[in-house]
Amino acid sequence: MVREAHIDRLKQSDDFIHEQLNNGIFPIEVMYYFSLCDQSMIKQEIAHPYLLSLSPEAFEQVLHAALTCQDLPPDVDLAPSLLDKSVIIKLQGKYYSIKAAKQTNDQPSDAVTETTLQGPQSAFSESAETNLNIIRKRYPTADLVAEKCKLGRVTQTTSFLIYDAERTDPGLLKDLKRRIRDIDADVVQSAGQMEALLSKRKYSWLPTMLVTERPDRVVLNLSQGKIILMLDGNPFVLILPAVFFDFISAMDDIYQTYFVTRAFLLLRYISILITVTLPSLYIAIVSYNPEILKVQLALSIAGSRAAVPFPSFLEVLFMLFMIEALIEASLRLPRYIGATATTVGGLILGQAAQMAGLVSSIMIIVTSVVAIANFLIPINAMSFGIRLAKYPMILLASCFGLVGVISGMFAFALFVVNKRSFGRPYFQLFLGEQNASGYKHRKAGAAD
Amino acid sequence: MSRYFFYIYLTCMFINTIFFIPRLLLEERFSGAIMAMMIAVVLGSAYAILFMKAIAKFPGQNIADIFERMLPRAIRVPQLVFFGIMWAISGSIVLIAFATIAIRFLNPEASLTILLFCFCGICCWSSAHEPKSILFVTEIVMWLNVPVIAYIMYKSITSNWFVWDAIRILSDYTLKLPSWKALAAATYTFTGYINMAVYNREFKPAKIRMLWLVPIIGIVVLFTSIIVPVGLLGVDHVDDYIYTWITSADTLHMQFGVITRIVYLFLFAYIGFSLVFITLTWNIGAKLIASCFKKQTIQIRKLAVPMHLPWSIVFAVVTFVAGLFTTDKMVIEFVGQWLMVRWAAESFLVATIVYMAWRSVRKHG
Repeated sequence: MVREAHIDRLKQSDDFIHEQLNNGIFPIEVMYYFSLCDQSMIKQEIAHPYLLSLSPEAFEQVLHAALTCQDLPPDVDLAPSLLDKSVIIKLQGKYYSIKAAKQTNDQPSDAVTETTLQGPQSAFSESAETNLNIIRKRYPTADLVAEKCKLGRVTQTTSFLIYDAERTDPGLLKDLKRRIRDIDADVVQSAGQMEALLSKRKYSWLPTMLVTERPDRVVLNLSQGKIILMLDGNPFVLILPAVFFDFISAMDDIYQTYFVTRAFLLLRYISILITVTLPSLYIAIVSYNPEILKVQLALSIAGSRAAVPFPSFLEVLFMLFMIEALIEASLRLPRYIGATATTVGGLILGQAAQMAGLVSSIMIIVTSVVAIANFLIPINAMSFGIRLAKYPMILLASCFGLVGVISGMFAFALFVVNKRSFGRPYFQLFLGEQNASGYKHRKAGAAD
Repeated sequence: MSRYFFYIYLTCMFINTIFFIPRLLLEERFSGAIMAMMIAVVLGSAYAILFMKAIAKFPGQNIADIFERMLPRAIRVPQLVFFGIMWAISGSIVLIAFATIAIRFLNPEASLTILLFCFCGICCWSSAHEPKSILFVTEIVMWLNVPVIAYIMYKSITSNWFVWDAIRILSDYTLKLPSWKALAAATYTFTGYINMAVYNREFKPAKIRMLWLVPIIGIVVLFTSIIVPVGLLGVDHVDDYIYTWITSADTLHMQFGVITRIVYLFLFAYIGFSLVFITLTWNIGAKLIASCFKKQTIQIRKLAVPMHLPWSIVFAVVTFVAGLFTTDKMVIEFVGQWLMVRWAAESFLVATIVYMAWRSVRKHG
């Protein structure tokens, strides 16, 4: 029989259990993966009632009374429900499945990639059900809809599409569902990967969907009519659509007083401007137009560059390579070695490079300012995107000087402005429209 | 959406009052330039308001759509091509002028070829974008640059070397009959509204509020653009300079700034404005010419290229070649002649749209 062949295929794996039980009155067969199912639950829900049952009919009653019990039609493949953490029971030639999921890793961890000073401290966990529980607890309304879907041909990752039915634009939802249907991938494991799979373009630079680990950010965005995509086995969720300003806002922006948050926002925008333009401005000023600056400043820059044998753009590229390598290294290394790497790189190498006359001391300041300014962007994906933006600017500055820098800024602005996130403008001055961080500007209706 | 109209209007106004208009007007400052400016305020605002009222009758349509409904193909196509070329020229003149200015004031050692290449490349790329994106970027550039410009104006008016006597001398020459050239130049200041001929499509409720600001902004900007150079450079010799405004800005300095010479701030702001202006005009020119064709995209391998992109490239190449072979003097001569043609064409376009609006209102009650 086909079904027996199926079971034989499953038996190849040692964590698959296929047991014949007999209580002296009637036999049953139990099948499950012990790696996926909770054995104490099986004992309690199945083995124990079975022991007390006096007839097959009585046990069938018990099974039907249990939650999540399903009668499986005779011709259906058993593997999907087994892999979905169910136990299959064969009773008198009929098959029943009961959920007995083993809970793993469902403790919410502390927020580490997006921290706030005085706000909720916990992040999502790796279990989608726990996460759904967290969101429901924080957003208790019947309008909150969670739609389940399976992603990836092999991984079949359980994922939830969560939105506030009252506030979400139905057109957006339809568009998103169509895109999810069109996904063609074997393995889907992370929210960041989903972002790539959902966007139509193959080549993209800046993120148009927001990956976050913070439940409070999710709740805020739900109330703004956005859609959340949550994957099982992943403490990060995807928020979409997102505009540029979402990536620059931290959750602290709602938790602090008005002027404080405005000042921090201003600080972030200034630092974006600095991190993008400062290296190229250095090149343009040193190599093309030193007369722009005050004479004293121009002289001190020239003085600090006296020992440097390279043109300015090589100096900049050399120093930026070092700092980028350092950031990348300290990101991937274990924490203890990471600290050593930063010390060696930052303090010793920087100092030595300047003393050896490879780079000017002003250049070291420029590099550090650029790196620090870049860290001010609250969302990592955007921080990486902006990190890249300085290189085209450096190219333009080396070729055309200050004209190139200004043209580059114009081109970058146009590039960002031209982006769309699910058909909506990504970057513009949303004058008179809803505030991105939602600070006391919440509208009653949908966000659009 | 009204604000976007004013951004476009202001961009054109800022660009035009810096590059050629003061130069052309100041040449005739003793023979009717002041009168020309006064007439231009009235005429220009009248044109702007008439045109805006008329085009508001066609919400969500540009002139290509309107012409398509009202005119046979044989008349429509030459008109659209002509207007397209006029728009492209207005951008190209600014591009060539700015490349020259960048060499004179910023990079004396750079070669014209390289700078032209930089400008043409960027503007060709940027003008192929969607009108919405261009409007958004115009807004950003405007918000970043207007404070800088306002600061420079404040600095120049309050400068110790600003001579109000020169202005008083100039005011003696108010009651003179202006030449056509001066009039054409002065009205060019107000031409920004004409871009709505194409961008009207982006404005779904086509009603623009606060149109009364048009003459007020016009008076302030136009008169500042004449008064400041005269006050700073002197009434007698103000026309000795080719790029009057940039030389005027170069007379100012900031004692406590990181950048001491104000001319650099001025140039930075104006590179931004020029790029926006060229992007706007080339985009409109390319769109107008592309609208003569039935097909709106061309398939190149897998990419669907919008029809206006090839025209942006044509503009860029022509401008690049033209820029290599022209001198400052040739450009300014050309601009003088071109402005007259432009004025006639603008009047014609405004009259056409007003007539069509009148006819469509009468037809549909």
